[in-house]
Amino acid sequence: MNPRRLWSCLKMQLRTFYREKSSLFFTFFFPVLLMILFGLIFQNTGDTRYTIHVQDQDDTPLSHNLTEVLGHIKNIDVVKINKTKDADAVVKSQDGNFLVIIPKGYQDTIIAKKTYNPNATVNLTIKYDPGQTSTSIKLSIVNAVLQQVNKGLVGQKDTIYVKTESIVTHKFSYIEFFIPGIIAMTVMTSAVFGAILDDNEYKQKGIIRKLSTTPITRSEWILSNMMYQVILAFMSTALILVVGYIVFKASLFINIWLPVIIVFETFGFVGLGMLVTRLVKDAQAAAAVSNVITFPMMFLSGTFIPVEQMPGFLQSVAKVLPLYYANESLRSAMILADYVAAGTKAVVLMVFAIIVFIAGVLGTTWKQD
Amino acid sequence: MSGKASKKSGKKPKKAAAEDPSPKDEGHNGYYIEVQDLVKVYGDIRAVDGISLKIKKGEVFAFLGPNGAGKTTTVEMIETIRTPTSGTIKLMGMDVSKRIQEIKKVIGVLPQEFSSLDLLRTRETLEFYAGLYDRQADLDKLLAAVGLKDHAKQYYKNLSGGLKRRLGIAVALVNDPEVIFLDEPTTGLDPQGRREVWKVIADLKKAGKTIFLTTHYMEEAEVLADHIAIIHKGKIIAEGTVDELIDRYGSGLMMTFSGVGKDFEGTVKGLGYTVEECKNAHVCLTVKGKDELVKALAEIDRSGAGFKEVNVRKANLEEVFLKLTGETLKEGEEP
Repeated sequence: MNPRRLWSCLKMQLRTFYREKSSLFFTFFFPVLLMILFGLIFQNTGDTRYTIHVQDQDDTPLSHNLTEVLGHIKNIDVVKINKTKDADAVVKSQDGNFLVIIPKGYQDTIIAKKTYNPNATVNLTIKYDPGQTSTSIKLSIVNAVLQQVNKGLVGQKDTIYVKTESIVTHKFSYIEFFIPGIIAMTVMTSAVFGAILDDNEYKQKGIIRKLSTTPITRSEWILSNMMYQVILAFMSTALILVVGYIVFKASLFINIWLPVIIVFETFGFVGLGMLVTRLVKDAQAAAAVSNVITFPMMFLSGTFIPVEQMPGFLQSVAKVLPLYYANESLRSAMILADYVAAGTKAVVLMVFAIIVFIAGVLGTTWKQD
Repeated sequence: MSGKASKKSGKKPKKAAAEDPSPKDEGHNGYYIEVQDLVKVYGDIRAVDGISLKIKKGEVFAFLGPNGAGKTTTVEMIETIRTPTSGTIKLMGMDVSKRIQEIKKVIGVLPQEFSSLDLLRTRETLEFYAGLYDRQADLDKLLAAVGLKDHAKQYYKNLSGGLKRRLGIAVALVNDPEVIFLDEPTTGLDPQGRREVWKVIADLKKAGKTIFLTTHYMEEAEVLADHIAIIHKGKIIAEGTVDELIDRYGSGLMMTFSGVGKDFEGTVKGLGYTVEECKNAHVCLTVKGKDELVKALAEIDRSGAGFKEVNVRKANLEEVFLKLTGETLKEGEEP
């Protein structure tokens, strides 16, 4: 690796990038425009709603009260499940992924705690599908509610009534859901199409052939392309975040996972673009194939709406799409600061990136036949 | 292999250079490019079919042939970017299949149909390519040398065809190379642009650079080259200097009579001359040299066969090629 050669390529690519108005538009202005449009459209239609299932095995006034408290939380719909139903089946079903079970003896324990046994405890069981962002949100909400309830008990108040308005730990609106999605989408499209269009231009203009007669190696050339794509991805992400903050006051966590996920995503999708150019020689056909790959992926991976709001079989489809993992890991990191969830999904993305990128590199020709 | 080529190799035994087990940079014996029995096969097609070449340091070598004759395939094998099916290539004594990185540092290549990015300025294009080398030419001097000083800040897309090609040549020179490969440097240019490029190449020749030029323009080879090889269907069919080739394969002096009378052709034939096919109702005949020319003119004049003008010119490479292959070197002709 020769840093001067890398820098020379990078400088050339950045120079032509900022002079090319259409690439500026698609990398920067288009995602921002999309974000503003969607933000405005969904601003007044209310926030994303989440469903929590509750199985009340106690069936007492106090347990009813707890169910009611959960139901009062903004954006939360409570669905009551019959005592006799199988809890696991509910969680596995398409519309339930989060079930709170209030055990038999809940009321008795609370009464005991408040009268003769201060050490009495009761365990609520929560069954959930950890594969989805929404469950972590629900979990944090339920935990906050229970905290309030517990506080009420310790405080020796005579009722466990809680003010529901103050319970939500992190209020988040559609725009905060959407921004990680639009970041993941922009990184994907700019990586796939960047790889295809640049490769086509360099080939057509004889630049690849020319480069192959100079001391630069294939790996140096690919690495400089990657660095270029990563820089573009960082710049567009920064712009989306800044505009999101200025226009919508979107409050999102910025942490180390954000750049890490973006790097994984860029490598994966540039690799995909390289593979497509290898398999589909004609540039226009390659662009069409990329559209066929990326466009449905945008809708199926939860860029615009949460995956859990889609029909069950489409949810299964989402889970094999790399963009889904980019979306989910970004949301875990940026909305919830849930590093474990972000990391778990980022690993899936990383595996995809490694496989596809290596295949893409191997498919890139340097020497002529 | 032509008679000439074997005569050449007689002067300098091929064996010594080709079989040197440990080639060094200095092991080139004055030959900067040595190609021995080079073959490139694609499927059933022998694109390059047993070519041998020797090009001296400081020489302008023209590789001449119609499109599809195997010129670019050959040149790309020498440039290390294509792998030969068999045969050996040495560049400045270095084996091209082994010392790829070292060779890439000392060659400068203008690929066929090369262009730069539309939104890169002239100087930036040079900076980009220069940045790929440790050894770099002075870019300002280079711009001046190819006549692009006043266009240094222009975007590539705004340059004329001739200027674009001159930039391509400048790009081939950013590392101050020892050997320069120019693949069809004037194809697609108008006569003005072609002449501009020729001047640049002539200047490089003056500066003592070794140049490997591929072209299908006979005129270009005649104007620029010290040494020519004609390739046809993957084989070298003739090799030598321009004069040597014309002397050997050309037909002497061509006399073209215009404004001739009705019985002119018959009269000339009656005098024992062979009349050749000719355009525009002209009558053409070929004579060996100056003496025969004077004699023929005198005889025709005495015979009373009337004509207005006679034009005399030396045979050119076009005719040599035609004679050797029975084909013309037309642009766009595919085998």
